[in-house]
Amino acid sequence: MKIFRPSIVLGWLILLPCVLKAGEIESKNLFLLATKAPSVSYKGTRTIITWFGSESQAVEAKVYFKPPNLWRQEILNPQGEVSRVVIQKKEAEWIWEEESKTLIKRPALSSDGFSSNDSLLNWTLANYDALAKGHDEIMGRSAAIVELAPQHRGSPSRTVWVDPATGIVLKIKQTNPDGSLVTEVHFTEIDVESELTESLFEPPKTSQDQIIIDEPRPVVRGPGDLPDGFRQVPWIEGFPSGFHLAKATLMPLGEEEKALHFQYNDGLSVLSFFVSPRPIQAGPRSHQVVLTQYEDPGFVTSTSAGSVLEWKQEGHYFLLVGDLSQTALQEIMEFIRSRS
Amino acid sequence: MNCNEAGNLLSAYLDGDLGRSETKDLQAHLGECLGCAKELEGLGQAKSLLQGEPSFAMPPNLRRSLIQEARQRLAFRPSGILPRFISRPALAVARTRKLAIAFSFAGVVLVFGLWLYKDRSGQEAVPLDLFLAEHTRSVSRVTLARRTVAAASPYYSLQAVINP
Repeated sequence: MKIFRPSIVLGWLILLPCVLKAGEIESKNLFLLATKAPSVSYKGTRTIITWFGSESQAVEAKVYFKPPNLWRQEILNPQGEVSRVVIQKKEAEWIWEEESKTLIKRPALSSDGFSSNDSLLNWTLANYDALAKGHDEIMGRSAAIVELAPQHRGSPSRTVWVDPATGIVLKIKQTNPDGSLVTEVHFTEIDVESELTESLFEPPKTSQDQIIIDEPRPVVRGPGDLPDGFRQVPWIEGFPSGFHLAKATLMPLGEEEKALHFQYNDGLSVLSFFVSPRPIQAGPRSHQVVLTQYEDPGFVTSTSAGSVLEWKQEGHYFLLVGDLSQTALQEIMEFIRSRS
Repeated sequence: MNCNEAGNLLSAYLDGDLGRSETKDLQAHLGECLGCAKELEGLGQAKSLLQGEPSFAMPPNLRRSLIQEARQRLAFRPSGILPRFISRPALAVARTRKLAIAFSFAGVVLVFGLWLYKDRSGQEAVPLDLFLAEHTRSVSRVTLARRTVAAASPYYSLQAVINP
């Protein structure tokens, strides 16, 4: 039998792009599934591990979710007692701090981090390749593995294990640009389609003086809106490494003084660009602000402050904070300098 | 890697003494094993406590004997021909002068340190941690919660963030 018949080779040449395209569509669909709120209710226990040298830590949390947007998470201390409760209900979010008996109220973050914002999804797909990496089994449930590999040098990468039947993200791993592990979140037990009462998603009843309202920062809407003292600061809509300007706000430094905070996003990672009227005092960093814990039900944008770069320019003090390598931050710094 | 092997490596891992391959193997094991992950957390907390201020009271007898020993070693004991010409009041003056010189030197060091701490333009520096907290504020509830509870003032207590 002749294997290398011209017609067979031609057939394969026609079919191969279709097979590759189908694989690409499958991985993209899996990624989109991971960013959406799950279609079923569930409750379970998750372990959240963050790596920061000697200050690495592991936290356990009980999670309750009821579609479309009711969510509760109880963070447990090492003794297994609840230390913090986060409740999301429609547009509002409450955070109960057990130790201080304080309730914080704020607008809800979207239940899955960012899927409500189409531009963020588009940025992710433009800056990261979604690659299907086969299947796994987690807590008896089938999980499809999708890796988000960065297209730009110096960015982090993330792998998610998503249950194709329900859209529940069963496991997340994030690695630094150098390949070392930063965060891992996975379920240690899960009960899908469990009956959950509405009362679970009610904030605890407290007296008025125990409630703190978290006011959003004042927004700077464009270069014409820049306050006095910052008029010479370059207004940059995006960087060549795929970051887009998501928001500009004013950060309070005292009674009157403010710093500018430009927040950029590449769809997976958040980059902050600060402009301060006062010098920035370097020194040992607290791991609590370097690491962020994945206290969300699904796929969230990373705000780890793994790298910083500061410099002085034209009477202001500039600072870049993000999850990127130092080389990538330096390239962004050069870009800012060239635009000043 | 099993739990025994992982347990033997935890302390070295916390000290940053492990090689890249051992670190990866250990992290892979810790990702799968909640028991070892918790052991690591406990060990980390114990190390942090030991690095902090010790709170053990010194036994009174030991304290007394240490003070006595220190007094003997620090006592000014002139020798040779000099003691004959130095009276007790003169010794007291000499000690006071030494103390004055020591305090002056400490003062100079303190002023120099404060000068270094401030920017040369004379502006007070803003701690880096404030910016890092602001960076994570929009998404991280941990930072937000600690920050909001620490103080209602926008310029919140840095101590509360560093040592919650």
